[in-house]
Amino acid sequence: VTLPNSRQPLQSDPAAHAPLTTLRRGSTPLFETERRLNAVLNNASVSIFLMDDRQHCIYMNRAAERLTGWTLTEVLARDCPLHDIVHHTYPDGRPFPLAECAIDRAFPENNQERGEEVFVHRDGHFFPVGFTASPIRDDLANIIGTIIEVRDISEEKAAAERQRLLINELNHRVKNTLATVQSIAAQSFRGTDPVALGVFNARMMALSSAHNVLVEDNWESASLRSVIERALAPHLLAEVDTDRFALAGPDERLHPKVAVTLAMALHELMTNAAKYGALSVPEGRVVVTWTLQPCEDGRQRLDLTWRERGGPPVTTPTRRGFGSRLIERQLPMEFDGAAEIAYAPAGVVCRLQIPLTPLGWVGQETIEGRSA
Amino acid sequence: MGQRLPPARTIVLVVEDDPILMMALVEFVEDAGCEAVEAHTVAEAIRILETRTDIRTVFTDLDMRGSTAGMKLAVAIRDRWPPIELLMISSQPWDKDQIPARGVVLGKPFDRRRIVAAIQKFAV
Repeated sequence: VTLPNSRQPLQSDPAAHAPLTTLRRGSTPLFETERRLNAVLNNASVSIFLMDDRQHCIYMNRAAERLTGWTLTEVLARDCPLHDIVHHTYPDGRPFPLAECAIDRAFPENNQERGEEVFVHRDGHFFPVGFTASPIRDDLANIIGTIIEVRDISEEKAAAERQRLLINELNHRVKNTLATVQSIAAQSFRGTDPVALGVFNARMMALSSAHNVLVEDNWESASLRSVIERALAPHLLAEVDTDRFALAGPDERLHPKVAVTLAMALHELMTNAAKYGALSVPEGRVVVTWTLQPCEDGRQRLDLTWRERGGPPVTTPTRRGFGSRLIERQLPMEFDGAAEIAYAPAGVVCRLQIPLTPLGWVGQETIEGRSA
Repeated sequence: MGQRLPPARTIVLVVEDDPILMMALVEFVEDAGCEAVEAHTVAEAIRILETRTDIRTVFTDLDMRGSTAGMKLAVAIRDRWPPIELLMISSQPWDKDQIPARGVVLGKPFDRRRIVAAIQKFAV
C-alpha cells in the first residue's frame, strides 16, 4: 500500500462506506485512508485514544505513546481496559477502579465528557491531563466505542499555581503597604490634628476594602453591587434603621480601576453625609440608584445617583475638599465620564456617569476582552 | 506597707520585624494605656517570655518575613504560656480553626479603634 496523494479526496473504496458494526480488532481490511489518517494522527500534538465497547484501547497515536510511555503494540498486547494501564492509581496511591472513572462514563452515560484527570506514566510518575471523551456510534446510534483526546496540562497547572502565589503575594503586599503608609502618616503628623489623621485612616480603609472586592475575582474584575455595598458597609452595618439606605440597580462586572475609584468616591460622599448631611441626623435617608445604558461606542455607561434626604439644610461648601475634587474632576478625567455634585437645600445629590472600561489589562500591552 | 501603689500598667509584648510598623503597634499599645515591650524577632520574643513573668498580652504581626513565623509563635505561646492573651494582626484572612484559643486576629490596614479596644479588653 502506498501513501495516496494528499490532495486527493478521501478514498471512495466501497468498503470504507460499509456501516461500522464494531470497533473491535478483527480481520477488517486495511483501508488506504488508514495510512493517511496515521500521517495526520501521528503528527498531531494532542494524544488520541480510540477505545472499543469494553474500554480496551484499539488505537493510540504517537503523541499518546509519548504521553503514556507505552507503545500501541504493548497496549494491544495487554488486552485490558486503557484505564488499567494509564489511570489505575489515584495520586495519593489508592487504587482507582474503572467504575469511578469520569472518562469511562463517556461510554455508558452516552454524553460528551470533558474534564481534568491525573494519569500515571509507564515509569510511575503522575501527570495532570485535560481530556475530551466522545462516544462513537454505529448507524443505529448504538455506542460502540469512545474517542478520547488528551493533553498534558502540567505547564498550565504550574502557571496557574505561580499566578495564585503571585496574587496572594500581591494581596499581602497591598495591605501591608497600606499599613506602612498609615504608620508613616501617624509618625509624620504626630501632635497635629488627630481628626485629620482619622479621616486619612478612614480613606486607607476604604481603599483597602475596595481591594478586598477585587481579591475575590483575582484582580480581574469586581461586582458593582459588592463595590457599592462594601463602600457603604461602615454605615450600612452599623445602622439599626434598615430604611436609612436604599440601594437599587443591576449588578455588573467592573474593571479594577473603575471599582477602586467608585469605591473611593462613595466613601467621600458617605463621610460628607455623616459629617454634614443626611447621615448626621437619625431621620436622614440616602438613596443610591443606578442603571446601565449603552454608549454610542458600544461600551456600557453606568449612571449612578446618590441622593440625600431628611438631613439638615444644605449649603454649598466654600472650599472644595479632597472628596469633591476626586468626584468632580478626577473621575470624569480618568474615565471620560461626567460627575456633578448638587448642594440642593433638601439634600446633596451626586450624579455620576461612568463609561465602563472593558475588562482586561487596559493600558498594558495586551488588551484582552473577557465576557462577564 | 498598707500603702496603695498606683495600679501597674499592663505590659504588652509587641512582636514586629518591620521598624516602621513597630512604631504604629507601640503607639496603639500606649493609646490603650498599656506599656509596650518590643521584640523584633520571634526568637527575641521567646527569650523575653522566658525571662519575664509580667507579660499579660502578646501583640504580634503575622506577616513577618513573609512566612508563618508569627502564627507559629502564637501557637507556641498558647501552648507554653496559656494565660497570655494573643492579639494578632495580618494582611490575610485566617480560618477560625487556625487561630489559637482566645486569640484575636485583626486585619491590615490598621483599624485603630478596634486594635486599641482589643488591647484594652485584654488588659482588664
